[in-house]
Amino acid sequence: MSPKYHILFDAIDHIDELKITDQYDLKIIDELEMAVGDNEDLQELLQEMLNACLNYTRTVANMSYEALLCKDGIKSDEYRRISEGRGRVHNHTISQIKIFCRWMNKLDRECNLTEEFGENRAAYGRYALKITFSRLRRF
Amino acid sequence: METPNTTKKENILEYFKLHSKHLDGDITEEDANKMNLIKESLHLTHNEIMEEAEDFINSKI
Repeated sequence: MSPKYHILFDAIDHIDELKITDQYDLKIIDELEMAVGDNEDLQELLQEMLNACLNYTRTVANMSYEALLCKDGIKSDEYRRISEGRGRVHNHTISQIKIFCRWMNKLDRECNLTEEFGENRAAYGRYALKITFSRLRRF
Repeated sequence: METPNTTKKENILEYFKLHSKHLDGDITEEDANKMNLIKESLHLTHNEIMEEAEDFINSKI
């Protein structure tokens, strides 16, 4: 465990609350890592996909946060800035998921995400969130 | 006007942003202290906050 996590764990009260509980779908990350195995190219692509999913989740969170701060329906410059970039971040996330899936299939690993989601952009977004929160719940 | 519900959501999103720093490996003691303060002010557990954050962010997709 990284020393930085020790700092956090020492500082957070009620550490038991951070323990993983059965109610969450935690297997999703384990299954991806297992499917990738020790193939370094796939490991790199998986990491890029996970980073894209995190970035997308943060963008939506930041935009939602800025929206809450907007008074009387007047959007702030920061809100507009994040909102304008959101589409690009979403596109990048979709691309990373598709690239990962394509290479998985190319190397005879099972990955049917693109078949499952089709052209449904929201489905990719929801998957990105699911992935990100599953990773966070590992801590 | 800021409502208590708005403040709660702001806090939940702030908590998520801080906790997500784990994934970059750059969480600090100050971040952890902020998370504790938010948790105390909301009277929610870590898991409850994360559940609400996920539901709220999901609703914005």
